[in-house]
Amino acid sequence: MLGRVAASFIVFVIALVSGAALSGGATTSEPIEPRTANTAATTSAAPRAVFVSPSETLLGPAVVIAGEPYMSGSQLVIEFDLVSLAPTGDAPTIERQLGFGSTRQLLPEDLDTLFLESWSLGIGNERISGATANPAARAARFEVGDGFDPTEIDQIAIESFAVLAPFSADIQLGVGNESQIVAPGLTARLLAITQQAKTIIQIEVVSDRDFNLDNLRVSGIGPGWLSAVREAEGRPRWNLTHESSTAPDPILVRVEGASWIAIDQSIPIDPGGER
Amino acid sequence: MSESLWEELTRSPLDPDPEYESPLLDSLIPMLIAAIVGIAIGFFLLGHDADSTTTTTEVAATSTSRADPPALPEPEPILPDSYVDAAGVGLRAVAAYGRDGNLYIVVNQAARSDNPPTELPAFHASHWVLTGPGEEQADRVIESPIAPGMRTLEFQGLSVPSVAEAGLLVREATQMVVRAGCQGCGATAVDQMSGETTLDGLQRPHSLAEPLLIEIGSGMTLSIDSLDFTNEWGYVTWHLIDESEARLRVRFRVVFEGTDDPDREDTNPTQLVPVHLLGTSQQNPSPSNLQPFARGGTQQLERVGELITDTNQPSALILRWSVEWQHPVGEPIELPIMEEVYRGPID
Repeated sequence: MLGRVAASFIVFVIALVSGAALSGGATTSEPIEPRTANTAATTSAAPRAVFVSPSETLLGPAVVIAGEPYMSGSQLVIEFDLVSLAPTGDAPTIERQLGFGSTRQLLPEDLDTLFLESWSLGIGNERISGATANPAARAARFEVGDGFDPTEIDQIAIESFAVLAPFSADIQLGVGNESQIVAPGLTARLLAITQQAKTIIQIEVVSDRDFNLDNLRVSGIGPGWLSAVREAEGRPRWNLTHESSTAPDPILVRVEGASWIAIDQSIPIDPGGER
Repeated sequence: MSESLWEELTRSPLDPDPEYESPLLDSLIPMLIAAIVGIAIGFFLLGHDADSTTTTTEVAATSTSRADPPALPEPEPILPDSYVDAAGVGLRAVAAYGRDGNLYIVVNQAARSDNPPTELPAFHASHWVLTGPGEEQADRVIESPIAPGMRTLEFQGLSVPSVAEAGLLVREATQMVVRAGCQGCGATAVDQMSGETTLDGLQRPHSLAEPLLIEIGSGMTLSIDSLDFTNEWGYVTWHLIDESEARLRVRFRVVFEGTDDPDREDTNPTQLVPVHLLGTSQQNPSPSNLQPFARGGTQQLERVGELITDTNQPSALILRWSVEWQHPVGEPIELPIMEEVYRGPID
């Protein structure tokens, strides 16, 4: 009987130690790392081109979020989104005249202010150029030929982009001074002067990019100017009417709006972002 | 009676059944019970103590992660690379070019990462000063509603600097305007006044005989240097007279009093209003640039409302004006200009 009691006591002591070891081991052998450590480490370092996440690239006034490249016929396509960073809390809504009396309301954050003009694909030492059609387009296209394998791409980069910058140019036009540059890529030209009871002065604006011409207004400066009228069908010609029977000399004109300014800078792009 | 029979008769029901008695089982059961009790006590007493002592080294992160999800710390607000913080808005000079003997610098605004761009008002600057060999204040700050976040600074008579030693000093403006259609915008502080004066005579074309001086308070006087108008157009030149650094945004309006032709459906009285307020039309599909704050300028006026005819003549000509003004506040913010933004003259 005594032997049984002694044996039970020994087992009890061993079990007591084992239970304590089991319990203590669960809490001390692998301390839980606070979840905040990694988060703080990644957000405190300001990235160079990446703004919020590795798949985002900041270019001027917007963030570029590029998707995975895919083939469409003989073209490789990279779709992307642009998220404006412009502070627009007090910016007005824009009304666009679309022609034939129709209008469109645009929120300021939806305006196109960044144009990803040219791109490149790097495959070893080879470079393939691509382009985006216009500022409203959200895809870059590369002519790569049938059977191209997108997995062979080593690097994707934006080679040049353009930002939409406001301008306002007061210029003088007249005989012998028929044209003047008003902004990067934009030139105003005196086309015709029709002197009658009131004088009509026709001015044209030419651009190195067609879509530059959507954002312009032209008007006369000084006394005597009546309404300026842009010609129908969207042609970039304005008829300015002056109340006198002869044209003022010199002809003072204001051309204003916004023009695209190209910036040549190679920016690597990390595709695969959430769009 | 035999002894075995006697034992059988006197045996307690609690005594073990002699047929199932096992010495091995008799010794294992107490040890098994002792083991279970020992493990239980050891786990709950010593183990519980160990738990409470070890968690002191792990701070609250361990315990709170079990009860409530830990609140992640607010990430450090960041700006895009090379942008300078100006009241939560990042500024950066992105391009500079020369045209017609003037220097133009394009500055971009981008919201800091802790500010939703669509809720953040733009940074309103009063002064943009180009530093370098000397200091030159921008003559105009050009803004367009179709290019939000972009400002083009005009420095008249300056060429593009040959070296990138220049920078900008930016002063925030007191004035912040709540524009129409911008419900809930945070900007509220507006210094403004308005008034009107009846002009002498009813003749058109009409010209001021001499400059019209208007006291607008705070030591400022608005000088309307010239006002010329007919029934269809108007043209105003003005400048500010004061000893401060204030800048004005002015609007002029000529009202043809009493021009409500009852024979016409359109009974709006005749007015000459600033061209830039007329908005878009089939003839001008794009909106005008925003009128800049300045210390002087011109304004084109255009007729709206009734045509003036022989039977629809004004009884009085009234000039109305409204003025907003701004002053620089706070310390200047230094904005470097990277060398790569310079591109030389474009003409």
